[in-house]
Amino acid sequence: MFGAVHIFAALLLLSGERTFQVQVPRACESRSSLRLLLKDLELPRNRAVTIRAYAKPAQGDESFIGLLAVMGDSATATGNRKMPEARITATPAFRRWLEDGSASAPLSIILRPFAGKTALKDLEWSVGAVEWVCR
Amino acid sequence: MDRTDKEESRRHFLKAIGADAAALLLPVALVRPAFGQVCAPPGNTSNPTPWVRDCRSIQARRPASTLTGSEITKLKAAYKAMRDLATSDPADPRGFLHQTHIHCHNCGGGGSTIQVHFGDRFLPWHRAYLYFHEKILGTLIGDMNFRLPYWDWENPAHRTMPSAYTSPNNSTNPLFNSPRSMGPGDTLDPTDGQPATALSETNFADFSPELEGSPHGSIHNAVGGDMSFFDTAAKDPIFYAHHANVDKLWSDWTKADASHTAPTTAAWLNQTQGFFDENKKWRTIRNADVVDHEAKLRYIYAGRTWEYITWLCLRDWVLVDRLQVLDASRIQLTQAGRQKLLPMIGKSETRLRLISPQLPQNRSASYFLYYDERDAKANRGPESPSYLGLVSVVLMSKDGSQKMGQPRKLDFDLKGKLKGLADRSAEFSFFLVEKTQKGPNAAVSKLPVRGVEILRGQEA
Repeated sequence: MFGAVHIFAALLLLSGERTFQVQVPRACESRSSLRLLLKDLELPRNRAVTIRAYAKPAQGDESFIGLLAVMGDSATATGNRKMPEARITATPAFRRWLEDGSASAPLSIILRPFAGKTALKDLEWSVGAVEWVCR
Repeated sequence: MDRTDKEESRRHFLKAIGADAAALLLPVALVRPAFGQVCAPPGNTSNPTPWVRDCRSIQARRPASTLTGSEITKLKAAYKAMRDLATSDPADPRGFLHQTHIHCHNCGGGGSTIQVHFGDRFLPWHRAYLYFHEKILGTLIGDMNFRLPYWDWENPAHRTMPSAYTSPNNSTNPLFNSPRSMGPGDTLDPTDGQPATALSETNFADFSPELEGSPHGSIHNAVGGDMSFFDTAAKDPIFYAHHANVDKLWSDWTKADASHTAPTTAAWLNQTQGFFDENKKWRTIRNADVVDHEAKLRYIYAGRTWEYITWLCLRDWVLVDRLQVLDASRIQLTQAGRQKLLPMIGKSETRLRLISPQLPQNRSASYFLYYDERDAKANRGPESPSYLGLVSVVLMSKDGSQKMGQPRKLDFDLKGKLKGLADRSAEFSFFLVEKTQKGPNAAVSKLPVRGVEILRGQEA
């Protein structure tokens, strides 16, 4: 049903945005669904986090891929929520961007955590790798 | 539901969507409650009563931003009553705090092992939650036609929080909650509240988690404050308008294509959720009961006021009392019967049933039926206090040689009539007057019957 087409190493930072270098998922262009898998995602339980994913070609502007929103358990919760995999489904606009050939290999995948519209620059979180999957 | 139930539910969901796709889901098994407020439901929930069908008229849930002034007043009055109840009777499960605890308890709060998110009960559970919440609000303001509004955040014109929830933006407004990150006039980020991706999914197993992650989750986070956390989200009244929109999107997705169906496995259909109803009874409702919200839960989503006739709703009618038939035309309500009727006045849907009425068979005609002779003689029809309804006799041949046959029973709605009937201490009769006879002193004839029953619509 699903096929992994690219797996990439993470550039792991302590906080703020995370960036991964990836190949353009050409094999998915004709498929109906394109998703970005976030491997080994870890978020604090006492924070509500919306992760917005962007793709940036070597040259050109970045494009919004999609987002993942995770509510916090409680303001008083402790510890982290660990997710072996979480998914961000690419928006129709991103797929069109890909199909238009706007992207050139490789792409930088930038993951930015937010609370609503506010960037969470001090958030301690991690993601092990990202991977494209398509159907 | 215990932990075993939860994991069983999750197993069914994962099985339904396939092993590969299962890897995409957020791992419920890793979500350990690490948070603290006590939010278990109050009272005894060990002997639930199954939910039974609802026969209220079908009413529309409408966009919160389009409510009229009087509708906003009613919405605020309902939440004020719910908040006041939490203070005046803290044990009442219909009070606002207990209502918010329902969500907390079902999200792992207070040590609960239940988690209705991240799985296949996310949509049906929240639909049932809003349904009972809405009925309680309606009951508290004495209006069972009350329906929750929805915040259609995907509408470009409605990207700010509906003004009813922020005006005034202080605690005098029952729809206000503090703190919120999103203030009055703040607009959502352009990437939040976009359901197109979810709506493009072709099966429930993909649609549900997609909708749950975004836009559902992203709107929670965008509003911020209590809405950001599972244990407190329902403390913000905007929660219910937000989830009504999530529910609407499920409804929209279902209508968009015949292949867009809810799971059909017996395991999913028979999953039950527990809630207190508007009468403080602990009810269980199955997923199968919430799939068709229009026929079963009596609401639709619409941009305008809408009301359906309820004739399709097959309510169960329960016998309350048999009146004494002294002879075919002399009826008497006993003192014991009166005591049964009095508590139902203004509260229950009631019917009068005439058993084997002996209708005139001399010609085709329509008759008004009354239970008071003076009203019958005045023959003012529906304006009369004792008017019960219209009865038509249609002969099978013009010369009257073929009779229509007597009906075994005739039912009449007693809405607004029950008190007048219950007040009759002396014996009385039923009277027929031809509909066309206007003015005083109409020709009145008694209607002989073999039996008279009072029925009550079974409460949901």
